Amino acid sequence: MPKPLLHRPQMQNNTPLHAAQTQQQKQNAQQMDKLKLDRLLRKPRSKEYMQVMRKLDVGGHVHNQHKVDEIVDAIRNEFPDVEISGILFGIVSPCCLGGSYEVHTIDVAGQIIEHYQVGQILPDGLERARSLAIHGGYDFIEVYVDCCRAVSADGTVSVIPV
Amino acid sequence: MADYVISAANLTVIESSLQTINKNIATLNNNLEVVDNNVNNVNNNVKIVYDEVGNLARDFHDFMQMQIKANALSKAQQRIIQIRQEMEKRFGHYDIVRRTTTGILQADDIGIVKRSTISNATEELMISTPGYWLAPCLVALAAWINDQPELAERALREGIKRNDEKTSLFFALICRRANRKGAALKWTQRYLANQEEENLDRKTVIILDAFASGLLGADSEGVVSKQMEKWLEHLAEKPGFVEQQTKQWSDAINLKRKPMPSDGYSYLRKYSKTWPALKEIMEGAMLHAEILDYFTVIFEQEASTDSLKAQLDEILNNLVTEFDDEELPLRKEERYNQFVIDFDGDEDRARQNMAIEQTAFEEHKDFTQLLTDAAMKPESSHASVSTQKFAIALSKDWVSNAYNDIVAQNRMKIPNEIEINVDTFNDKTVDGKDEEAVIGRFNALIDKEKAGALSQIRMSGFAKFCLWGGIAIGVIGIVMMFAVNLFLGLVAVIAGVGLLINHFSKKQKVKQSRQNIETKFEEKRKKGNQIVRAILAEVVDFRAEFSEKDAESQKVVDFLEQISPEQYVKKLSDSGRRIKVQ
Repeated sequence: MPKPLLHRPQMQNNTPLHAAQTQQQKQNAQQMDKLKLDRLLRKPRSKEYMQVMRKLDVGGHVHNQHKVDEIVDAIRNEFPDVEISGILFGIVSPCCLGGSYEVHTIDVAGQIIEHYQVGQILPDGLERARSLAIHGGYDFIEVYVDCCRAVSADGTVSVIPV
Repeated sequence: MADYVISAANLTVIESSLQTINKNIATLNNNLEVVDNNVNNVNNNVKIVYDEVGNLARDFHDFMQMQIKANALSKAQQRIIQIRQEMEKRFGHYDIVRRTTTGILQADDIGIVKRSTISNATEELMISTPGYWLAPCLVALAAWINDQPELAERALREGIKRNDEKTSLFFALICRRANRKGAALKWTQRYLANQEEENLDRKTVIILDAFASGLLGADSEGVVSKQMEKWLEHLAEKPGFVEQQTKQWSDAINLKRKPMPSDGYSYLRKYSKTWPALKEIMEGAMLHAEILDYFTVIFEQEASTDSLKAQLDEILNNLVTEFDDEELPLRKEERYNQFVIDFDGDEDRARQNMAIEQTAFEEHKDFTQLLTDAAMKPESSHASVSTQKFAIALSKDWVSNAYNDIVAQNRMKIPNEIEINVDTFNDKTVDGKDEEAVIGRFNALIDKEKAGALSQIRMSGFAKFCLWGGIAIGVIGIVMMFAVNLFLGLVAVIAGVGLLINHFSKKQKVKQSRQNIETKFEEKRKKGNQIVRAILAEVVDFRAEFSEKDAESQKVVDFLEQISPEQYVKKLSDSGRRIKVQ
């Protein structure tokens, strides 16, 4: 007959203390994942990625779904280990189409590229990156759930917590 | 009547009774006063007694304290003798080793002692001090002086076995003193390899300072640099480390931020609700020049190594004379008892002093904190210019990260549109170049307001009626004067004239008011146009100045980009300096 003590750890699993510890462990793991993710997303962007993003300003993507898919694929390939559409709201960059066009946006989840004119409000929390895209001198701004990442021409990433 | 008689008779009795009561009360009062005085006397006496008792208690307490201190002093005096005897018995021979080491170093400097004497002295000590790290080091040192490499190596191996850290530091400093810089670097690396990168003490900080200043020679093979890279790699593996570094550097860089001068942009300050945001971003942009200047000054500064050399002397001196780990408990007790004696038996004060001394010696920090402090807080960290250069160069990736974030965070606050708030005119401009449009909108507002104000200035219905009413009444009056009654007709004529006068006076008043409004609004238009133009001009200037200042951030980034740690480990040809070990 097994000693009752041998079963005690299993019984302890149901105690509130154990539940709190498990919760704490989960939080720690999430925090660790977040730190790893932050470190990954701070890495300079690749040349390929930068080139694809620059093509946006040539225009003509709005109605060409094939090209839109190509750009969204480039974004996904840049972060192969991350489900990027879950955390990246979209990308905002200054628009050089001329006239009253000010910025354009890439909606990663919806796979839509749109150009916006002066006075038009950007959707889905992208508006917060508008001024930085226009005045900041960066190539584009990646808008995440918890921060904006401004990407310079050489691929350097600067982080602005929200 | 009967009532009056009864009343008079009763009052006399009552009055006399009252007088009696009064007298009694007076007597009672007197008695009470006497009692009061007596109570006061008793109170005073009690107070005196209390004071006396208090004094006695104080005296007793003082006496007790004095006695306690006297006991503590006497105990400390006895204990210190016991401790010293015990130390002498257990570690007395260590002291001979220490004194011999100092003696050999001095003797070798002067060159007046025969090599064989040095050799004999050290070998005897080796036998008499088993387990003490300095003894084999001394043998190695003597063997080295006598050019006996095999013996030196064997002794060194033993020294390393006994205490790797201290042996390495000892020979690093000795080699530096002998100007064998290659060997000094290797020993330094060995010493550093014995340290924990998260827990560096003051001694290590000075050694790193000496390394950065080139006092330990040029690290051409990267012996020490590799060790530091290893530390950094270990630290970087820790989750959150890079983020913490970035934060640490951000905080340090932001400390250099200065407030904007209080003059300039007077119109924007006064007439734009966006000014606080503009001021903040301009201060953020001004930081770039500050930081560039700060880094440039550091990298252009010539480093003086005099104080550092003195500190190295002190380390070697301490290393040779300081106590071994096994002696420490007794040494600490000796120190404590010495404090008790110094403070006449005051044990509390002795304990406080021990704690302060301990903290000073046990100041530890991690390698990266050391780098940040050295680079950005040289006053408090006492880092040399060389270390500042070295620290910035070694941390440049984190500095760049932190700096880029600071720049982006400042740019994020750039308002896309700047508000113009002049009186009732509230408008926006992006770059101040849309003067015509803004002035047009301002004038349109003035026109609208003027029209509104003018529309309020009108003659009342009665005043308008006065014109035709007055004429009619006047005409009727004239007819009445001739046809009905002269007097009534005259009254009607006067009334008619009065109404006419009222009409024309009101008309004149309205005309005057309208003229006033016209003048007021034209004045407002003129002044407003000037203010709006001035604001727009300032917006243009502000955007230009901000761009110019903000662009300086690139200079800082380029500056950081071109520096490398190897470049800033100063190469000293030869100091030729001898360390004086006492």
